[in-house]
Amino acid sequence: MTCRDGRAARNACDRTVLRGRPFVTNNEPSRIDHDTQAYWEGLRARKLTLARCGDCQHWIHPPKACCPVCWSDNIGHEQPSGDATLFSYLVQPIAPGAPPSVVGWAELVEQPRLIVVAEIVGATAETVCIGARLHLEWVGDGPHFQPVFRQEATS
Amino acid sequence: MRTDPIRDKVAIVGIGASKLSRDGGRSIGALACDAVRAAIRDSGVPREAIDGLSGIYSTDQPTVWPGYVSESLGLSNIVWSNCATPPSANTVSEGILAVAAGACDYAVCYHSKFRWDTVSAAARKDPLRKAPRGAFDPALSMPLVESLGVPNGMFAAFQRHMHLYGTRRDHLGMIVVNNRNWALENEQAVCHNAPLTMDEYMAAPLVAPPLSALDMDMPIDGAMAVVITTAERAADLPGKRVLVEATANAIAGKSDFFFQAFDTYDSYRLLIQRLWDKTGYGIDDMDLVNIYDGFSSLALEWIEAAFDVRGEAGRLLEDSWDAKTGRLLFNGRIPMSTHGGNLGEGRVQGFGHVMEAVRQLRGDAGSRQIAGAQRVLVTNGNNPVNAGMILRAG
Repeated sequence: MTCRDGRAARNACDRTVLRGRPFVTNNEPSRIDHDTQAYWEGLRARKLTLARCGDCQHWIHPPKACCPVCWSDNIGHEQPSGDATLFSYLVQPIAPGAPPSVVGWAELVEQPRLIVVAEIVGATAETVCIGARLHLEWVGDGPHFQPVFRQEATS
Repeated sequence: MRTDPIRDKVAIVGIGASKLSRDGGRSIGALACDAVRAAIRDSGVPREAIDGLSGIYSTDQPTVWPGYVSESLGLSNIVWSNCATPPSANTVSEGILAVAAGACDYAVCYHSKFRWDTVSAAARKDPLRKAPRGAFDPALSMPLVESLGVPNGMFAAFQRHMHLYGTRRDHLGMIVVNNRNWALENEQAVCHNAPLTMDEYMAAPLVAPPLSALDMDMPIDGAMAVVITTAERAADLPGKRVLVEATANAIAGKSDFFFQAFDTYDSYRLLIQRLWDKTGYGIDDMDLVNIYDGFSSLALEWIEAAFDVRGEAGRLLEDSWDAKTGRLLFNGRIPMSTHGGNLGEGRVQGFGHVMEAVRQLRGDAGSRQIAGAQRVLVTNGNNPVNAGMILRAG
């Protein structure tokens, strides 16, 4: 895997994800519980794995143990297509002199307001655009893969 | 109109505050006790009669629970106690409900804030400001965003507001400058001696684009408290009482703090509508609106809910802005947050909004006094932790 300027994925990861953040920057979170276990296992396999009701098919993220629509306890896990649009974003300063990162609220095409929060690549603070089409990509080396969303160029 | 067992049956009869400052030289517990003692003294209720005690368990910072205050102040007849979710109006709301239900006769509701090392970089150099350990993640979703530095959805919310409705930073500036100008007239405000012009606001660096540090309330040391009893008992007390018309808090779905809370602020609309439904009032029945401003962008969303102008806060603010005085006057008549709000007075998570409503309705607001003020709308908080109330002169 290469990043947008051709360097190795590891460097891309260093640059876009691991720079000077105050928190852990891999897929080893501070806390995993019964409901989020499948999500984190998915990331280690480079799969965005979201909770989905096995009865009414409603996607649930952040994951919960019960469906908010039909109250079913039959919660499974599936991978969405990875296509999304940018609902909103935050330009986040990282370090003095370094370009800020763009954190996006990616609304997945599978369901209104099904939102994954992740770094946006392929856009700067100047070019990021609410409503833009996004597609899921990955940065980092296993087992520490990070989902990011690439903003597609507007034609 | 709904009939209501609370309306006009419950009164606020005392208010008290600690000193508000960046460094008060006192512990968070001492601040709470300063406020609680001051409120009880202000009410004229004998200490032995206090039988209800309500604090706040804050999401972002630890605070002191009722057991601590009881122990510290020798309040040993407590038959109802509680730790509410923030914001501050919520502990007041809980006290109102407890008194209305007869769970206690005289409730003291307080909140104490402190500039812990978890909220202030400067505090990390002070060994007396080390926050009690223990993360607080009541929505259980924080691990999903911690690798990104726990990005704040409230900022993304305003970004989207700008995109959808053409709202601009100078609209937030009108809110900030209004509050800072009122703070110049409030001697206890942290920004009492710190004037701010619109030009200065617009020139401020964006620390979290599109917001600057001026859009965020500053962490301080400070506590506030009120004493609540029935309207009937209040008539026997020496001070002026302020009556409760209605109180509410609301969760309207899409409330996950990191993923969804910033979506539409429907919780704000649900809360405001509840207050109108309970009282039969509308915004034009209010003489003052004390609008929560933990972030200026939250104030903008509250203004949209209170004035029922979804997506048009920018235009309403422009129509209400007086550039000469640097203040807002909604519908030609209604001022906002005459104490200076959190942004001007300091961050007690909205408690000041309740206190100022009481002062105005008692006629005790000094140079800030609104002549003949009869009713005040108070809003507090975020989605899904919020509270609001309508208070009236007794």
